[in-house]
Amino acid sequence: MSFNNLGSDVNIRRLGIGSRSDVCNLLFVSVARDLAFNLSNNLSKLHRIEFISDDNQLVAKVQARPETVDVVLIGAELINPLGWAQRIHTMDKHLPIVILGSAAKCGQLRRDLMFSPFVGHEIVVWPTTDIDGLTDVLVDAAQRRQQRQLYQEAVIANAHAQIEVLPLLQPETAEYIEGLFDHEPIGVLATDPDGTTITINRQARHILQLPEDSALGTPLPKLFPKEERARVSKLLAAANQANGRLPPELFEFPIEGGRSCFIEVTASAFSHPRGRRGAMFVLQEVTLRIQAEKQRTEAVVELRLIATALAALHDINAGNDNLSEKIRHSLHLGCEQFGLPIGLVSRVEGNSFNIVESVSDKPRFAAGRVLKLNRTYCATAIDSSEPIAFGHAGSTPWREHSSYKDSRLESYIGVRIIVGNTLFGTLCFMGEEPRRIPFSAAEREIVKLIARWIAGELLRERSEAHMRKLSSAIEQAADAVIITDPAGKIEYVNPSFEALTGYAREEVTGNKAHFLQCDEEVQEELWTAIQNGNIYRFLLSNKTKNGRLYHEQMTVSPLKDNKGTTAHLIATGQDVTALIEAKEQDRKRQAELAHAGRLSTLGGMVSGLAHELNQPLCAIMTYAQTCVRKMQAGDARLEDLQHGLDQIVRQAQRADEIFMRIRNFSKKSQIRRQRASIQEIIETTLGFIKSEIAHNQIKLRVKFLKEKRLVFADSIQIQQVLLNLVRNSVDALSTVTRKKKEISITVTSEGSHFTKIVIADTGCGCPPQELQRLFDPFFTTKEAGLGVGLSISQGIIEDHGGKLWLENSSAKGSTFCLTIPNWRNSDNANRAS
Amino acid sequence: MQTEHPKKPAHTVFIVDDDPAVRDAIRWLMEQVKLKTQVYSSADEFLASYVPGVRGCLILDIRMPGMSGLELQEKLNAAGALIPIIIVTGHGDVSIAVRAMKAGAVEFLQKPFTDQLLLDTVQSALTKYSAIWDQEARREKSNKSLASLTSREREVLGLMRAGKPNKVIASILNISVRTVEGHRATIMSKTGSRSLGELFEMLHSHS
Repeated sequence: MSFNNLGSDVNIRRLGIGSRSDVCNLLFVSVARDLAFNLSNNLSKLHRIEFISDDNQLVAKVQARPETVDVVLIGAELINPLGWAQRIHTMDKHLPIVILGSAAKCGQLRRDLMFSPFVGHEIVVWPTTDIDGLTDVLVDAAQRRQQRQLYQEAVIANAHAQIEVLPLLQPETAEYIEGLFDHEPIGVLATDPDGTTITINRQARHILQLPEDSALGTPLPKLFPKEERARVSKLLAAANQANGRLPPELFEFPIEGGRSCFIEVTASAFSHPRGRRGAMFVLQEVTLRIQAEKQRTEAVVELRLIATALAALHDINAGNDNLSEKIRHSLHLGCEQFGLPIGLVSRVEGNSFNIVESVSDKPRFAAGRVLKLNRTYCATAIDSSEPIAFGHAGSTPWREHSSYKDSRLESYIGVRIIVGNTLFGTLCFMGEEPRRIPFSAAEREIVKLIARWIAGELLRERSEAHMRKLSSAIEQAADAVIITDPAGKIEYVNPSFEALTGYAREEVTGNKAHFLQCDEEVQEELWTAIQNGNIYRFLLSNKTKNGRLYHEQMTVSPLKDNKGTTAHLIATGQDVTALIEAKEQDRKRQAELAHAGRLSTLGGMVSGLAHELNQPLCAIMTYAQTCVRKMQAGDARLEDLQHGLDQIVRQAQRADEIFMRIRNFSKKSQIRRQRASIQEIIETTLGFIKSEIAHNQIKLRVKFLKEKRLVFADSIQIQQVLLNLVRNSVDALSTVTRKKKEISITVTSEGSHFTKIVIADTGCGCPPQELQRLFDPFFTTKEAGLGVGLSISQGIIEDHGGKLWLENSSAKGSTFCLTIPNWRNSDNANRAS
Repeated sequence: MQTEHPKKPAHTVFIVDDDPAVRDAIRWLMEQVKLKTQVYSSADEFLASYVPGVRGCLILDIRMPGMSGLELQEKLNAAGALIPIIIVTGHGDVSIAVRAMKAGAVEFLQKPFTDQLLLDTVQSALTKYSAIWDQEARREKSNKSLASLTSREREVLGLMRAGKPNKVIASILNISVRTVEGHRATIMSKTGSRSLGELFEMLHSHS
């Protein structure tokens, strides 16, 4: 027992020690009156000042009644203040002293103080100049003094109290201690130097599983199980020689049920009351603690295992192997972890167990083999989300399983593999040898981990395969594919693009896409469509790198991201060069055929044209000859010739017109559609055939529109068509004798964009069997006909964007209709139509 | 070779052609040789104003709207018109030419023709038909005069034609010789014959 730490816990009043008031007693020694007066003003009423001036008074005060002095103030006038201080401190070392001195003297005083041996710590030198500071110093010192006194008194009081109490304890100590010990959950036993047990408490007996009355007098090792006795003896020896407490040692006590309990034994040397040495042993049952530690250690081990497995899987991932190899690596990992020779991944379909990958020396479990699911352990694993594992099938109901019967696999751990919400198959590790220890929770976690990892890899492979398929679809598409940023800058082009345009990927990436460099109206329509989220299609003509012209059917669509903003534009282009060129060729052929048709038409009209030309020629001849006659008559005046000559000129012009018509009509010129007056076209056409109509006694009725209607057409071609239709009408009327023969040509509007011309005759109509083939190429009912007329005509009109059709045909006559687009002020509108 | 042809103001050249230039040119030519002309743009127009017996020739085109030249020819023939037809056409076809000639056309000319050729043809046609017209005129005249004879005068004429002398005629008709002579004189003056020869010729042509 020590008194060191006893503080003010002890009630001083109870012990009868005089209580302290709050008054401080200050002793002034030879302090100047006026200074003292100042100080007393500064100090409170609680500070009592006593004045002394000689040492007898001092001694009387300090020595006799030290409790009445709290602080001593030594005046500056005293000659040997240090001497006084020394004398005070020999009487009471702890009494605070303040020595006053002049500022100059203070320094010396302090130095002297330092080397003075007989003074305590509570001494300070103060300059007389600092009265305020002095006040504080005194107050502080007095306070400290009081507190110290209080403390001292308390300690002493406690010590007294203890001393008073102590004699009362002694007779009952041993029992008291024992009682104390008996109620502690600590086993305590003591031995004599021989190692014989001399004391033992109930708990120790309980811990050591000793019957009630044994143990005392028994050598210590005998109290312990056989296996531990050697260690106990060693401990005993060590304890006997030790100076203090030895570090605790752990001993294992087997208990029933095959388990053990653990005892922690702390040995120390023990000093017998009679002076002889012995040893004391404190025993504590720490089974639970040990178990907990064991579990913790086990958990740490397991965690480390799992972490290692994770790291290994991560390493597998980081490699460049393909999926098969990666899975095999993971199977190797599992085999290593579990110590089993066979690891496999299966794909399950119906009752079919297909081994996808395996690590195995058994051909039965090689990759590619197919087993029946219901004959494998894995069948059970499929139904459970947790792994199925057993270390010794033969000693469990598993021995009845068909798989055991087939292959005698004793140890197995397997779990199902779920890929993207559907069952893929199983992962399992197996061995023919039974496992010494059962599969731990960590191992189950690890197999689940590997299964999940494999599932992840399979899923990724699936997605990647899908991605690869999509990207190769674009890469290998026959159409050119261009992907641009929202502004049209190229980010990607596929090989078909390179093949089509002749530009390599590197040359075009980063540049503005070619389809955005076409004319402005197309641009406008394109961007409007794209901004509305629509697709825009158009035909684009461009030059390859080598300068060759090609045509593309382009489709541009916006690609939206998952926020709905346009992230890219994707444009596909189909090479329609061959098609367009074929169309061009076709058009050329058509034009040639049309030309041939025109020539043929002209050929058919030769006699009529010859007749027509003959008239002006005849007139010219006659006029000219008459002029000559007049001149030869001798009496002709110039005015007489005027009429004839004028007429000659006119008739020559008339002939020229006819020639022009023929020339224009027979030209193989470029087809050029332009603004033309429909009235002019019709009138020119009729110029060709009017005489023929008249000579066939056919009445011609022409009705134009009130306004001057302009169309967008090639005049020559339309003339060809109209001439063809009118000639057909003339021919149809040629066989008519009894009724009136009429051809009517009427011009009307068809909608707001087209002009319609109706050519009707009162002929014999078209026989029903010919109706179907009427517009077929080379179909003709005329002996001398080429048959190009109607099909060419239809082609011409359709090229113009109009239509040509037979409205009706009967014995009363036929009516053909055709439409031609009107001239519109916008050039492009005309082109588009 | 240009020759001035004797003019007979009574002759008219009818020009029927739908082409105005041709019409006008021919007219101008005809007028240069002092021939009277009359132009028509169609056969119908001509027929509408045709007076049978008019002295003149017809210059006719075949190919015309409405009635063609050949049709007109047919119609004129059917009506017994005594007018020479000169076909002038740019539409030269052997079969048509044959048809026209067979139907009595004077000539078939192809356009363009030389002025001389046309003029010659016109002249020869007019000349040829002059005799016919004269003859026809005389016949008309004789018909008229014969028609103006009384029945007694006709009896006398009949007997005169038979060659009977006045005495015989008188006795047959039971009239005096003087009456017969009187009738003879009337007959001669009515018929405008200057001699018996003329009278008998007239009678001959009449029958």
